[in-house]
Amino acid sequence: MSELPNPVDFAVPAFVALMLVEIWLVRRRKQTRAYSPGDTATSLFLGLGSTVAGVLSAGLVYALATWVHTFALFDIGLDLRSWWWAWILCFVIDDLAYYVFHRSAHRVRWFWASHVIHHSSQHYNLSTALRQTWTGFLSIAFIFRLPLFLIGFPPAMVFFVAGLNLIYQFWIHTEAIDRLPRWFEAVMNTPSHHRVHHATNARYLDRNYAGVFIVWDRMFGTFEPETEAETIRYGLVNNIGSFNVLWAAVHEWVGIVRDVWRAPWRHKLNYVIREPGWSHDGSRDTSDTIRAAWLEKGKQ
Amino acid sequence: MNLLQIIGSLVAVLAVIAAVKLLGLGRAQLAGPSEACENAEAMVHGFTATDAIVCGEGNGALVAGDKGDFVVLKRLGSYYAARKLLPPISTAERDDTVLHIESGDRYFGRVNLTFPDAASRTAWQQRLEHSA
Ligand SMILES: [Zn+2]
Ligand SMILES: [Zn+2]
Repeated sequence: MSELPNPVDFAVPAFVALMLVEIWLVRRRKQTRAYSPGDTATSLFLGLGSTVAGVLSAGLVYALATWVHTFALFDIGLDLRSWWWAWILCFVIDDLAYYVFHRSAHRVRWFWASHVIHHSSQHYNLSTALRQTWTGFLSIAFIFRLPLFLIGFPPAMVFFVAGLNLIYQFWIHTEAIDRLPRWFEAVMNTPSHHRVHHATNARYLDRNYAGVFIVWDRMFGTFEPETEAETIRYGLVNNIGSFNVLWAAVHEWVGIVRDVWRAPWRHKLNYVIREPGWSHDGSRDTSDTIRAAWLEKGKQ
Repeated sequence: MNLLQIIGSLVAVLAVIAAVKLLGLGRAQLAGPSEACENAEAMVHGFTATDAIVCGEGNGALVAGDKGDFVVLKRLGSYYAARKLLPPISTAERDDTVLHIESGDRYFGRVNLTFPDAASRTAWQQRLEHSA
């Protein structure tokens, strides 16, 4: 296995401490809606389950990464002193790979079925950050990182920077921080940008996919700034309406199986590869139809 | 990840949940029918509310739409989750003021609404049963 430790393991105590600080802060500011016990429990148990699922599949993913790395274009070492620039480059390219993964996770139902867990809370606080998938391996999300191994970044380096990326994304799941200095908001993903990502308001659907650097969204046309004029509704277009941990983890997979089973043959595959909410008879809402209806309403 | 880390994480998880509980976070209450309508329209796309009744001290609500359709709201933590009720709507009165409504979704479950009085319970139950 990897010769480097998993940085996330070291961050967990800080995650817990920061959650306690946020809980104390929202209580002091009388923002009593920010947390609720049932929701927090669901988020944290989903986080715990995700860690276990990750450990179970880590060996296989690492073996695959090592195999792909044998076809590497460049020979890149791990040593920080001689390869410091490769570490930085790896972090940046990995964040781009994360952007591509994340965008696909919202536009292809197979990937969405795994990612939906992260969006299944109607609350938005630091505990929401820990609502992580149990079925990442099943969704083959790891394919988005394969190009890094092909370039030549060692698997240990890639998994380490991927851990740092995940740690960065923790603190942006909060309403306790409003806006940060302009230069920071311009380059980095922030609580404000990520609130937009978790919103179900038509204006905000499928926006701000960034992990660490918001520049990817600005470059590829998926950026939307947060506006004071609109109160954010967090969660899903169709909220699951339940704190059941297992259901939160698997409901979209069950939905896929149901739809594929019922659909006419020529439409079956589309229920797997089209965007979430797609239906062959157009009877359901997708983010595109919701946005179109909203734009139409705005014109009137 | 070793056993000690798992146990440590579990203890931390329970501590955080306890903090949220002890500080009394997670309360919400629908202020009135207009807030219920607003919630239903925002969460069920294409639904236009006409009137609503808030039940059980703001824990849930029934919202009627302009097409003779209905949306039920239930509180989940600090927020509300909504389901459009598909006819035939299955209801059962538990007593004069309490109505059980099947959401038609196993995990959303059955919603129990406590009406302000028996008359409103009867009126809304009749509306639901006659919904198209
Ligand atoms: Zn997302
Ligand atoms: Zn997030």
